[in-house]
Amino acid sequence: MRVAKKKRWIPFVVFVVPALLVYTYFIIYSIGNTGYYSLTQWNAISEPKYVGMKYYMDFLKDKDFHMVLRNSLLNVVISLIVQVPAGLIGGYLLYRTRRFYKLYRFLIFIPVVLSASAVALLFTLIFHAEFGPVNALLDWAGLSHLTHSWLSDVKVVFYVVMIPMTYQYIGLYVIIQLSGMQSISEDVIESATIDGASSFRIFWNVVVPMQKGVTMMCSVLIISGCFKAFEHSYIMTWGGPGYSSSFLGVYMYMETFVKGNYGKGSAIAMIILVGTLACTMAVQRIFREEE
Amino acid sequence: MKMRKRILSVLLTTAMLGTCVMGCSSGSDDSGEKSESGKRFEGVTLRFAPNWGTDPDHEIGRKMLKEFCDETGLNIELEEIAGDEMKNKISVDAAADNLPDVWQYWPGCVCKDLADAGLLADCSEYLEKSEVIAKDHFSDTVLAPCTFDGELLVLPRMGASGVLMINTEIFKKYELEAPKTWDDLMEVSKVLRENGVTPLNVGSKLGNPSHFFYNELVCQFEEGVQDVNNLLDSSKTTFKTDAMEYAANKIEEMVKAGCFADDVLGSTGDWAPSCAYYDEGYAAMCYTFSWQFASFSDETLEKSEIIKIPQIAETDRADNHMQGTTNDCWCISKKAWEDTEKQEAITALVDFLMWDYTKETAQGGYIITVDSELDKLIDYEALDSKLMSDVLQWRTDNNIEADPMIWQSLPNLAIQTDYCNALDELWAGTITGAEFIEKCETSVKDNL
Amino acid sequence: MSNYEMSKRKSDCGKALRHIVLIIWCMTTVFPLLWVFLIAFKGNNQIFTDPFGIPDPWITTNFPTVFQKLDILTGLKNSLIYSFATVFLVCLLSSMTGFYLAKYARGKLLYMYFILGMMIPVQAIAIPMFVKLRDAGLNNTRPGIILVYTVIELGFAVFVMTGFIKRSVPDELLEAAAIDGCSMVGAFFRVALPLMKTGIATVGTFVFLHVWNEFFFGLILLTNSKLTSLNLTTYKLRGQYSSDYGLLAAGIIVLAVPALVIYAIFQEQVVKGLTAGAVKE
Repeated sequence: MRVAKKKRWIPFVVFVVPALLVYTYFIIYSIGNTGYYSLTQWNAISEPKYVGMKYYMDFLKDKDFHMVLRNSLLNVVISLIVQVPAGLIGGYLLYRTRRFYKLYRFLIFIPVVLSASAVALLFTLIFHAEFGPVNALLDWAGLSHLTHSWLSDVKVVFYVVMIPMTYQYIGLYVIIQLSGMQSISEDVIESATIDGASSFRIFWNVVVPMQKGVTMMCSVLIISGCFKAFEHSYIMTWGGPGYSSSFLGVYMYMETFVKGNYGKGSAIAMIILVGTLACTMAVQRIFREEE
Repeated sequence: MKMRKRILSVLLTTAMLGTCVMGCSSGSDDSGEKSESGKRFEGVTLRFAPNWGTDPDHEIGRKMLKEFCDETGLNIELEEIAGDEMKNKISVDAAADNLPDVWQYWPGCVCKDLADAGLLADCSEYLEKSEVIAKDHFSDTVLAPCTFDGELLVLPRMGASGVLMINTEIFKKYELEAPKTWDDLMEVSKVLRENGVTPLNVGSKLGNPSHFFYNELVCQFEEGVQDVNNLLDSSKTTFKTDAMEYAANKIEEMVKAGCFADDVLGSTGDWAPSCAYYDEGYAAMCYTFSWQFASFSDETLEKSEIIKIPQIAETDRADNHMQGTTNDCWCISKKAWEDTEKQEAITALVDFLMWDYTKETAQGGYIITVDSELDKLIDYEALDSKLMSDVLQWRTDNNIEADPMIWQSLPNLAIQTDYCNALDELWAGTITGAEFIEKCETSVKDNL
Repeated sequence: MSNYEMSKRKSDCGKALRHIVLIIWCMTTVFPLLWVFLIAFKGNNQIFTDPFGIPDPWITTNFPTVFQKLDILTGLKNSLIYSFATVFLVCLLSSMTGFYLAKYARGKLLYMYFILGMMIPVQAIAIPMFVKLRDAGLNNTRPGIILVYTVIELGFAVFVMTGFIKRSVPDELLEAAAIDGCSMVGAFFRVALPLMKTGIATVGTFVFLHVWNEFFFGLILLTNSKLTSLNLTTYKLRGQYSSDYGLLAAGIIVLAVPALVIYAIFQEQVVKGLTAGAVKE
């Protein structure tokens, strides 16, 4: 729709300027601030002192930082591998189900609406070494040698912290995929069925390709979610022991708001930002190339 | 133009009238209410953040505070925070320029950043103003961690005492003797481990309760005591000393030998879980502190016996010493104190906290008072908490002296956080004793 | 015919398998909640010795104690205020902006600029936001936190709205309105807005869920207990009842219930909001 040229600024001012101002000042300008703070030593009370790239240089040889970064990247990779297919499969199962459809949908989506802190606390009980169901289940199945002190064994604690995150968010991706599938026209599925294609074939050859856009969307959501991951790890283990179950988000919070190191915290925030953008672009490229 | 002038004049008149009315009404309100109810602090609101959770003394605190408010008309906005989370809250509040008016905190390094930033009120002003509490109630040792650059900036709240107990029932069952030396302790641990019992309940979540236990080991040397005292002076702060290294290696050894629970963070990390662990009979020995004394069941206490800290072979000190110093404190925000309207109310609130509340909880046996005047009023024969009476009696009988605390003596909060994180890792067995020392030392370098 | 029967049998098998998978899935989702519900009626003693048995004796004091200790109603009220206020503001701003971007804007530059916000993690702006709000005296206030939530949700909302308006508000209607002498603003409110209901529902649902579950900003911006959201009230449990496991369990249940009730009531809206094809480009 085209409007007379001289009046073009009116809708712009009315419709866009409020959001644009708020958005620019609080997001774009803030990122600039963060970038600047990351070059200073600052405790938020006194004046910032310029230290240049010191914190970034320190990251290169800081073992804790390496561990936290590795945790975050691993989290992204594992979440993508687990949650994307789970969302697709779960969505498809629901899509093809008529009986109890609503009940299943209701139950699968429940964790999404629970507050993150409730879920995290719940899982501290589930993984309790003495009475938690996980160890009990392993004992019962005769796998006692697999029981662990889940929350303090540094070899596993990081994965343990990821479980409530998966538990909580997987339902969201199932429903998003389901919603995408429901807009696939019935004819496509029907004609495939008449051609004698099995359920699995339909899923693989028809649904998955058509869901590409939705799947990419889910991947982007998962990536940004993983990089900023904070509450589950923070509530369950406080990121510990040490930083072994910390993600970048937890590390940033600890440095900034606990230790009062706002400069270093800003530097970590910049790493989170760069990581998110880089991974998102990489994923988008992968999806484009496939086309 | 005319219109505008008129509007202006109307506005001005309204504003003036408004001020008058408000002035009058507030004046009449004040006098009216005072004469009506006679309450001193009607209309004054204070933000008060105590470190309260579910302990019995916290319950007492809530009840007494409510009575205090009813009586004085003071309005308290209560911001209860449990445990070490308080450090996060206050750090954020300080940065946000939003500190509570009065809060409960830890002296020494936890307060250091606030003291440096000039956010704490000069407490000697309070002591002068107060008619209940005076400086001479407290000994110099008690006041030392509350003093920064010669100024008293926080008020000591309570002392603390550690205790090491054994579950005699478990010890009898496996025909074990209470350990006297560290080698005994290792022997005992081995037998207990073989029988599937966790020897000692000390876990580590953000350094709790592990930092005290590590401290006990450091202080088995004269030099170690000196090392801890040196920490406060930032030019001398170091973890690279013989005593610190020895203790770190010893802990590493203990972790490897299985002296602590498998789940050092989940089921024995932090105070309450570690005590519940002993209380439920999962651990044969319990090392904990006075604020946990009320959490044990009577059955458990019945079969518990207090013992001294086992001595390492190389020790050059007698065995009559243990952790237990001024443990926490009350802070007053400078901004609030300088607000003349609030000053009276703050004085009354702190008086209440330091005298009435402390007296009640000390008599209950939930805390140990550091106020010598209050101490005289406590009937130590009639404490509600049996364990507290036993421990205090035991301390007197054995002439136990208090050791200095590393946690409190570090130069700032950032180093303390790293120290606690490193302890967690040491306890979890991810780093060796040497790496532990290295981590702490790096933090000292980075944060000074 | 046999071919048909075989394929029918095959599809029956498939159906059964599908139901089995879904049932197992649902069980893993629900089991933790049920288990916690069970131990909420037990004492510490029994939790340690018999975590899966029927409570014996039934401890019923845990629930009243939680209500007594935690200010659940305040948390619930605050959470609702923050969620609804943010939903309102975000829907308003994003529908207006989306309307312009979809129907008037030339080129994609402005659109890209907005959706960039979607990729930006909260941590990247947390410290400056904290400082800006502090300087404006908005830390620990309701407007402050609502502003923050509105800002961080805006990018995503504009993205969804623009796509939605492009698809479902036909140009012809707007042109007709313009010919009838309807102003831009009038066209927006009278013509476009009614057609955007589903889009708004989608955005609203997402934003509501995000704000309901938001933790990070709540933790650093809301330290006054009167302002804390339900999420942070729950979090307090960790510090306070870390060893009274029955009480902790009761707390988890009590705090999960409001969310479950809201979800049960608005289930259709929530799912429809997501189903509206929000994420389809």
